[in-house]
Amino acid sequence: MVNLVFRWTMAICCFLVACDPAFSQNLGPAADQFASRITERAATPAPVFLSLKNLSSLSSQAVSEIREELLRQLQAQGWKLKKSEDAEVAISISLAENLRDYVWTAEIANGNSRDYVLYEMPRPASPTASSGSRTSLSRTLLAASDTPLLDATLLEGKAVEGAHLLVLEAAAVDLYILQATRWQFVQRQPLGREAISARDLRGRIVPDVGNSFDAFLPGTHCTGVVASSLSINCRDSDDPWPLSDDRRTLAFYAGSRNYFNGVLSGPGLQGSNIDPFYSMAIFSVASVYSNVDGRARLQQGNRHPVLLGEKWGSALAGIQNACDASELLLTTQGSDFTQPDAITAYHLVGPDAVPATDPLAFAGPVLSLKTSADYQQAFAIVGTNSGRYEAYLIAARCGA
Amino acid sequence: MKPISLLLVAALNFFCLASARAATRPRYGGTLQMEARGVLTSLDTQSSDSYADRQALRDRVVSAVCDRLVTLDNAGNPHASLASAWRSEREARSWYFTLLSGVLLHSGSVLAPQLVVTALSGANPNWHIRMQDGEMLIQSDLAVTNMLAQLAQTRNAVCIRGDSGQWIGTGPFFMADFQPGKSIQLRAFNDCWRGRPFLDRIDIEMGKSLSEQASDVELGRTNVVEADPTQPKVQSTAVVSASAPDELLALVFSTSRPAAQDEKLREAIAKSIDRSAIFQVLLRRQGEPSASLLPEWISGYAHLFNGAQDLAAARQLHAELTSTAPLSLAYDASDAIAKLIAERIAVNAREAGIILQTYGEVLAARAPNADLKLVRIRIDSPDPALALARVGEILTLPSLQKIANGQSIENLYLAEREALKDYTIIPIAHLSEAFSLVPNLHDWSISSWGSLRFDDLWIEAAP
Repeated sequence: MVNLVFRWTMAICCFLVACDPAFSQNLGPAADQFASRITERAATPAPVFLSLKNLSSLSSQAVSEIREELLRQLQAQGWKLKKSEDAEVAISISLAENLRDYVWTAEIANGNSRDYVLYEMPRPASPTASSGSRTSLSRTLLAASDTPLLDATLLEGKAVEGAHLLVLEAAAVDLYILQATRWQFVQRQPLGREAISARDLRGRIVPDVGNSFDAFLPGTHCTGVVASSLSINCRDSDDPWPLSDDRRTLAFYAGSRNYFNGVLSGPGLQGSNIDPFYSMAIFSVASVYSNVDGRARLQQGNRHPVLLGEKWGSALAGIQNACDASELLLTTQGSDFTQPDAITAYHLVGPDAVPATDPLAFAGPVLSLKTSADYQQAFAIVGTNSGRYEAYLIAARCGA
Repeated sequence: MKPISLLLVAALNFFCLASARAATRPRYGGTLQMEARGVLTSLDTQSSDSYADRQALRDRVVSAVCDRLVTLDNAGNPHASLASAWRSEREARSWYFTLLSGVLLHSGSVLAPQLVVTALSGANPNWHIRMQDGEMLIQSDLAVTNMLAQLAQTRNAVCIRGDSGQWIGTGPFFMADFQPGKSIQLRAFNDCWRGRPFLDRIDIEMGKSLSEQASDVELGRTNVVEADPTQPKVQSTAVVSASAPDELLALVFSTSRPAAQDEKLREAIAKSIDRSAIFQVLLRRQGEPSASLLPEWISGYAHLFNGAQDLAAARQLHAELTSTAPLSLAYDASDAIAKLIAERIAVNAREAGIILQTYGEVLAARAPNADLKLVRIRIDSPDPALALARVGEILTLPSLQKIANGQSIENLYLAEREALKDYTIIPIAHLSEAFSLVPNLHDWSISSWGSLRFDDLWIEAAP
């Protein structure tokens, strides 16, 4: 029991330390530069009494590291540390901050003269600060089933009265219609083919013009139409799958595996190859894909992909934030399929992903994410503890 | 289970609960009743008002009616608004903005890019603004590294004058009625590009003292009032919400008056002030005592300004004076806190041998005929350079008005120290803007610098 408690305590301590923003930055070089600025300002290093106080959000451990580095650098630059009564110079250092930066100040007192050195460096975006954008994610349950759901789409592109919802399963497509704010089941149309056997079956269903749509399963392309009833025809095909409902970017699916092989298709993308990936979030000037090695990468034009620091789940999607028209990267957590999951939205700031919302929690794993045709929402397929599958519409909204 | 494991479970439960929260979908409808000390007698978009309450009211109404190209979140990060994208070139001397298209004005017409150009050109005569290849181009002879923070200021809201002088914008509310000096009525703009706000209407009553406001919220006559941070909550169920300290309380000498021209006298008064007692007793530890123009959360260097009382030095300086004539100290007659602080400053000065005669005057109406006055200045930007320039503009300090953006924090500190060195301005404290809200008002938020988001607010109907 004691061992267990110790392990938990250590785990919590590690968690708290890892969350300290100071540890995500290298404060050592900053302390070196600050010490050099102090030495530059003083005519000659002299016996000095040095005091340091922390007025910022830096942790005591970070402050301790900065103090040690400052002392080391000042001594290396010729300063001799003394007690107050033996010192010729007194340096009072304050580690302060404003909204955006750390501001470190040094008051150098030499007799009656006073001199000041101020040094600033950007503060890392804190979780509190980043969630201050007042954006949150909302979910709307579209459909639930005891058999695995693979994907869902809105035939008209939006959920208005009379709209049609199509839900893809391994062997059928289900049709729903929105009536009085409820999705009413209308019809189940089998695909008319042998069920595809795969350990991690994936599929995609996207709207086309009019009332038609396309459905993709490994090695299979189905076209369908919703008229008085739902009809669908399937054939063997290795056609690329649309990555989102707007069909701007398509990718070839590795039929015997559970990922896209990295060959892209679409306007301006012919011949484009990236690493094999599970899913892709497409933005106006970049894309983020979840590589089969479990890490996400940022791809901008023909540049070499940049590894993103975060370790997310396999499902990613990009949507537009209705609050401010910014682009949001929706991610899932990198946990097992047996674990609860959550969707979190991030802002991409250069190569950094900054959390834009709190996580939207689900009791089971998020199996699929796909951007809607209007880029404002995403479809999520989620497993539940009870073995059921649910399809959700995910959107960003203003306010908590 | 051993006590330590119980503690551990409790700690883990706390972490789990802290990350979970219930969410309620906002409801549409209702009227927000609000009261304010500030009084607007005309609709101008003046940005350098030395009367903090009036400036705060003007900023809030403008923000509800007129949009800006970008806004700042609580961390000071820019977010798209009327501009959906931007980039800078020529080392921040050229800025290109992609404007949203199809945005409707309250008048029903579409916001034309040229209207944005005209509005921003009027507010920024040093910028050269034009449309170029579908983008709005802002050029400046100097680098404008804090362009986004500038565009997020209320003075850069895109407001158009209506026939009757009212503000017309693209914001979530339109001006339905304006009774100069009395009331403002805002109504929901159904066709707002960001979506209709949840509230139907906002009614603002102007010129209400803090005591009147406290009484009205207690009697259920209003939903939101400005709170006196030095007093207990007016209603046991009311919620109090406050900004970071964003109002500068300072003594300002009229150096044109002979009695205020002696620097030693000004320094003696500065050294006699017991900021600690003012903070702890009169302000009930709200805000922060300060000897600097900018609060610590904006500058990060306010702690370098020594505000400790030094009566011995003050007496010594007074002993060296040739004249010991009494000085007059004016404060805002409608500001109960200002009266208390002015009287305390007079007591402190008397301990140093200096006679200050205090009197209340309506500072919003006219400049006082006093040797020095106690002023409150609202700082509306978290950007240190912009904040300092604004204070310089209001206090007519040319050295601060000319502060170029992109200055290092050390240069800003040096500029502020230079501005304060002759003691014509003596900062006393920084105060927060506080509000008391009825509990059925939801999604209220106030930024560190006091801006409110009316479009997020919603009212839960009484059961």
